[in-house]
Amino acid sequence: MKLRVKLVERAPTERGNPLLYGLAGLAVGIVVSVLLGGLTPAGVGGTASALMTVFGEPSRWLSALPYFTAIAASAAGLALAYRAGFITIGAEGQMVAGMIVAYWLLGRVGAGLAAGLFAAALAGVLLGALVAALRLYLLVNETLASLMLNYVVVSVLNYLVGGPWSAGGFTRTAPLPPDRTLGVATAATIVLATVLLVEAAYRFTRLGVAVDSVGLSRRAAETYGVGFHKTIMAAAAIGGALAGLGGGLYLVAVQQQLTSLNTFQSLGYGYMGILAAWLAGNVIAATLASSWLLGLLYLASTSLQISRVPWSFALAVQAIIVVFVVSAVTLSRYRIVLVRESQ
Amino acid sequence: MTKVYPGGVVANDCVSLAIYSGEVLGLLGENGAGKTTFVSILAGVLEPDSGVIRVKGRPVRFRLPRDALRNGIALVPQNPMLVDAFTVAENVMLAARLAGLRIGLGEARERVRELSERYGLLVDPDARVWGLSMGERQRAEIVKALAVDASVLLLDEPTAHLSPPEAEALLRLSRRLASEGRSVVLITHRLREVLGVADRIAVMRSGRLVGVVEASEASREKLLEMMFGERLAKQPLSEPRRSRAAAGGVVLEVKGLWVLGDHGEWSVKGVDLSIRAGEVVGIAGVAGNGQRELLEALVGIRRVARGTIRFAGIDVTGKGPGARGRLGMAVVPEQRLGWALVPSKDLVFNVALGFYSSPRGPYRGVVVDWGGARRIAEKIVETMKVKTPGLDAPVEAMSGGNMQRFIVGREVLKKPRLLLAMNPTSGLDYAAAKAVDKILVDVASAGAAVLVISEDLEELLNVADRILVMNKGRIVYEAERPFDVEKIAAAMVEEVEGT
Amino acid sequence: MVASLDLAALLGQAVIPAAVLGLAALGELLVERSGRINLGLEGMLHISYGAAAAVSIATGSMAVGFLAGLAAALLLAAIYFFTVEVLGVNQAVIGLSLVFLGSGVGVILGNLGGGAAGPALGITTARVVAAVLLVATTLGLYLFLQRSWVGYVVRSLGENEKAASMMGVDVRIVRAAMLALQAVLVAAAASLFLYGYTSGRWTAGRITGQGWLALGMVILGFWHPLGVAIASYLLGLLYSVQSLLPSLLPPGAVYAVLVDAAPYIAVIAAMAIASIIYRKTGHRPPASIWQA
Repeated sequence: MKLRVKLVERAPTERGNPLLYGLAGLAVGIVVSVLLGGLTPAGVGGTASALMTVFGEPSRWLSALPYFTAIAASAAGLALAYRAGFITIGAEGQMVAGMIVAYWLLGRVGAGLAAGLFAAALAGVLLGALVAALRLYLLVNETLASLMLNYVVVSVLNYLVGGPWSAGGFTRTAPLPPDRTLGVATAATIVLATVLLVEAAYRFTRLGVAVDSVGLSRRAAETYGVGFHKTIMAAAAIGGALAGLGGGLYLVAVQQQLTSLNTFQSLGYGYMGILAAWLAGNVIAATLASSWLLGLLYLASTSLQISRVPWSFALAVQAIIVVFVVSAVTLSRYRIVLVRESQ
Repeated sequence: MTKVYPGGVVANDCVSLAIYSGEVLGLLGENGAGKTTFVSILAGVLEPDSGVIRVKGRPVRFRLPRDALRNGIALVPQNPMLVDAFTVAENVMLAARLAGLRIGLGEARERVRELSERYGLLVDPDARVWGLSMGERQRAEIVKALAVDASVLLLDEPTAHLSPPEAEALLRLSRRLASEGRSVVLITHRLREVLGVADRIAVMRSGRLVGVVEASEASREKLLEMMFGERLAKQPLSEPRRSRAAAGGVVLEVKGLWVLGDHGEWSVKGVDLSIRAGEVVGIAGVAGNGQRELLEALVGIRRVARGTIRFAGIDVTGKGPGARGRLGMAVVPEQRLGWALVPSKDLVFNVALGFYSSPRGPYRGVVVDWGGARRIAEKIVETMKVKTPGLDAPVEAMSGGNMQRFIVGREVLKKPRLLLAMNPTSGLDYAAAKAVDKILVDVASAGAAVLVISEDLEELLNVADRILVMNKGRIVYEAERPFDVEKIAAAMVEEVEGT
Repeated sequence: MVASLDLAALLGQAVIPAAVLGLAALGELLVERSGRINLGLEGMLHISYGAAAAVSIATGSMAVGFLAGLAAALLLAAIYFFTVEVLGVNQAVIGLSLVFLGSGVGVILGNLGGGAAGPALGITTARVVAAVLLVATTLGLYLFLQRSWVGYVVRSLGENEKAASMMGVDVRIVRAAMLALQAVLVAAAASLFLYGYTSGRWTAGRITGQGWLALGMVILGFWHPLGVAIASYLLGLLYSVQSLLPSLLPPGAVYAVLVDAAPYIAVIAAMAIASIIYRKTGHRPPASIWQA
């Protein structure tokens, strides 16, 4: 007598509540992450207490605001792109490019804040459009192309920081003048407003219909008049604008100068944005919540860095969470059935 | 055997059937009766919820198609399932190896040649499948089944894509295979085929086995009664189109159209076509003669290499589907899921998509009027009597027939100038098919130009004012009512010369 | 001052980076031929690299280190299999998540080694091993995919999953097998990188980019073992030239950017050129992959 486990698909109306399953996945993911912390110098105890401190004390949450700002800016745009079936990972490069352009205008040319932020967004748009063009007209895989561009942007940054813009020491530039900075809360609010704007555009305009249909059934979309090229280009450009703007905001509100980066770590928020987008099920407004969660997780892991826990632990934890949550939500579509076999 | 799908659709309800060696068993029933489900279970493609299969008296359990193949049961599916990129011989070798036979590529080639000669199933073992016509692919599927020594052959709607002489040849082949001691199960919804060739006929209706009759006792009326119940036994199968209203001006004019197919070959070769307002024009032909590519070119998703398309007086040859939609074009594509509809989205969304370019769409500029889209969806459901769990349920939750009602209803509500439909009644049960055909006729009566491309000649005979026949990418025959069916059928299969 | 170019030395220097890229790419090739894309390759290399480092330093044995690397790669492969094949989760989400999971855990594991220098291969031995591994794997995969019936089984999955499963292919087993083989090749690539390229010394993030470049190699090699091997070797050549570029180019920090970014720009350019060529010749990748 053999026992077999089968996954039987449930009808759309009988499925489990994805939110509940997702929360369960989150809980399991956190437990696994804490166990993983056992391999780090902080140990299980250290990891657990760091997490509890961050989640347990709302007063701490404001410290995660900078991270939220950056992650949310990239996540929303990525979510839109993923809905269209455009798997780009270029938000990181677009963010750094936004920082570079904003610094140039604000720190070296002396332009105003609005101009600097606008230019940052534009830099993102151009990079996003480049990836889209490579994909649409040259059929170059967008995941790889966008990643390669990320690396190129970081190379450019390092050159600028180590060369013409260096403030001695090759790793940082001079800080921005105080009247070219913003408070973190303001920056976060700008991001919040922009993301909600994009959500509104998705929900209430043709953009949503176009993006969803192109991502799910390209043939149907095209037959009824949705332009494939136009839609992908739009999604890529909007995502680029958001990420670029996020980079500019991060510069003026948090970092206020440019520092050199390595390709492995880069700035990181653009990559976290990928995870935040998927965690939110690619629902644009929900990326605000998932970015907040990932921002808190990142805050917890930065506090661990004092115990010599590597920076990439943060990303690993976030990835674990995503895997468990996404798996749990997918599981809600099925019913687990035990089958007895008499052979 | 019982099989219930998620959502409670009982596809097979306690079906019990015996199949004997050396016989041709006809499995008859209209679309949606559960025949394909039953046969898929036998072939190991689906697992039943309850029930037992016994091969030569021994109970067996099939978890994978391979298990069924090893027991000598082979399914020849409705749509050939071969690996396009491989050659016929490679497909056969793969299937044989998976069924447990140790043969290499060379041996596979030999088997194909030998079987091909023995049974008159002309197929080239070294031909790549993507280059084969539907008929050739069907033959290749049968050769594949024979190559793995199948003793039970399940032929699912084998004549669906075949020309009349090809269909005849297939039926004769079934008899021959049966006379060799094999079992042949012929699944079909066409009475004629089954009456001519089967030893016994099993009839299914709504998931149940209604009964099994010996060929000697079977008559058309009796079978119809078993298939449909009392109600329709005496009625003719369809109502021919009444005389049409006076035709209006030319709405669609196609001149010298040349279109390339997916593999760099010419699919449409110099087609001329014109349709007037109020007219229903039918294009008949065996599948794979360029119909799909023609439709795609008319819709605007396939490039036109040579020639022009004029719609509503405007040259739209270089314009995309959006422009054509704005001018009043509506499309009922060949495939429901993935081409006409986005499967995982609900009815309201699919209305919004369908009406994306229509002047009557629920849009105010860039802004979507979701309330308006919902109202349109409600109207469609009401007028077409679409059965759906709800407007917010994903469209894939509906049955094929209801999906098609929804699609046709949606296109018609656009009050189009031109309606293009391809195989609009495929896979539909009798009632749904009649409803759809009636709509097509009504739309034309209301003043639209209608083009119906169909593999089902009978459908065209009922609805069309003019029938054109497409063969190897060209229009080889054109006629108005009254139709000479023999000439049309002949035109469908004639060998056409030239590139 | 321009240094003289020693062609033979360059060709020899390219072998190890070529083998690292090539082995990783060949593993991905198997998976893609079976109809899936594993975007998590980068993560698998990281975690394998870190695990091999930690264990080889602790045990002093390169073989045991390799096995540890294999275990780590298999762990990620198992996660991919379970979530994508069994549960049906989108392969892009899982792939990208595995990138971050793998690199994060890889750094944690590598740190356990404490920065010490573990056992390593001598330069000549490493080059010979690299060459043998690359050639043998390329040949093996070619014979497997194109000339054996099992290869047909795998390829049929990549072309038409539905038809293949109707013919009797056990989709799950084949996919699992390909993922397992990928893990083996990834572990080999990571170990070669550790013992042969970085002389047994693990550094965080040193192996960054190899996985992504390997994904590109599969495309550039047109999903054929020989093509992949050649593409990997060419990129390996670029790496060996890269260290020479500063002495070849006129001075100026601007060129430093080019040197750094060279491999990445090269890959984008190569993919663009390749895709133009593919379109003109009418080729296409396994039907289930990289759908345009």
